Amino acid sequence: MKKRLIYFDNAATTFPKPDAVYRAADNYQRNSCGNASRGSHSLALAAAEAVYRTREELAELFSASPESIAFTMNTTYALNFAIKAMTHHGDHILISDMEHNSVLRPVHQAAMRLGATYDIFRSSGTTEDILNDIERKRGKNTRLLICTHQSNIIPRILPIEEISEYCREHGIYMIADCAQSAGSIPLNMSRCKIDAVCVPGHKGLYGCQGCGAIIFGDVAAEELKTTIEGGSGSESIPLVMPEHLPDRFEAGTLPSPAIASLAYGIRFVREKGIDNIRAHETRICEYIINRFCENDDINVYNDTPGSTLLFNINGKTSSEIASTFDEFGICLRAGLHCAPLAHRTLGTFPSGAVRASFGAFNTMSEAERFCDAADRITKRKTLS
Amino acid sequence: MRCILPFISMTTAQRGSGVLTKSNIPHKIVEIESNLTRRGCAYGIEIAPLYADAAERALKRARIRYGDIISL
Repeated sequence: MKKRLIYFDNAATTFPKPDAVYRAADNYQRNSCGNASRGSHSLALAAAEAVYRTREELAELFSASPESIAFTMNTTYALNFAIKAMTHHGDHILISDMEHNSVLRPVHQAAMRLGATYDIFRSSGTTEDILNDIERKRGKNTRLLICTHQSNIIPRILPIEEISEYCREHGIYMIADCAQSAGSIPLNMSRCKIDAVCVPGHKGLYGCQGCGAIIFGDVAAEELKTTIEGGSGSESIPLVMPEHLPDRFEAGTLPSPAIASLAYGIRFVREKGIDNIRAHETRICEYIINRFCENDDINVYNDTPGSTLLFNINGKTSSEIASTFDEFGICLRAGLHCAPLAHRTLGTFPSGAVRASFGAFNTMSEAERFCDAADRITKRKTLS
Repeated sequence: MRCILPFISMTTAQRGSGVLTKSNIPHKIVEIESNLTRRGCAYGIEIAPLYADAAERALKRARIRYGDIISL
């Protein structure tokens, strides 16, 4: 009999999706697949309606306006668009020590191409510790700060609302990478001063792969540089992209099937409740941490339980561990998780570690099976 | 005769459409002929002239910006 798979790689992409998401993607492609904002015939309007429904859902989730939401292909695109929009020649940029390569690499490129410089601030300690470190690293030409809301390797959460207040006071643009937190930690755009929040559709919002979004704060869109230019469905005569949002950052055909089905993923999250999903994931993580603490061969790197668990097993590389768990039908992610900077911060660079990440569809019995497998793997190691 | 309220983007037209629906004002989203705008493709909301005042009031209450009404 085929073993039932345990999917603990929800930080990479959540799986499964709610049934309504699968149905919506299928329905959109069969019945509404015109090109959104490209004409006013019935199928084009049906497509535009489906896209707008998702804008409204996202707007409601983040307390933003539908116009402030620009759809992209994924969070990396969103971060690239936002970072490149807000970086100018010679700027100084601040990033946290837990950033993913989707932040580190575009910032490094800005350094290479635009003569920008950057510094890294600490993500650990109290909010005051973090703000003090930002203050120490701030220069007179600091124009941009980019910060993850929650790390992709441990559930460390940064105080982005407080950081945004600091940035606004000092005339610094702020971008938040919410790849791991969207759908998992509430964020109210009307209460904070973040200039751009970058989110994926396919992680904590339970949509299909293929779309992400930038949710802009109170910014002057016409001052933001574009990275991709092309058809926008509006203002087609000028040689430059429209000055208004969202069209300024939506060149070309949108990934509409993914966007249309995302509305149903967001509804699922809102119906379940962000706090309930987070509490469920945290309970699973807590159980595993408690079981792992009884096993001397397992090292856990979390500061706290949450949606992700980072660990290693003595005497084994992270890829060996993940592939052994795979033999038990358990999907984990090994290595550096595209976040070498974060692994350096935690002291797990260069060998990396193994990440288990949880979602709304995981169960406590899966957590038990996972821990039983870990016991067998560590005993196997001791015997060999 | 028809009236068209022009909007800066399809998204804003859709937001306007939501407001007019809530106000029970019959309307439809249309593409505006590019020779009627200075900047090319644009979207608007078509309404019967009878509803023009009510539509403008509803949009202003919702703080949704639109351009000068096009009468056709």
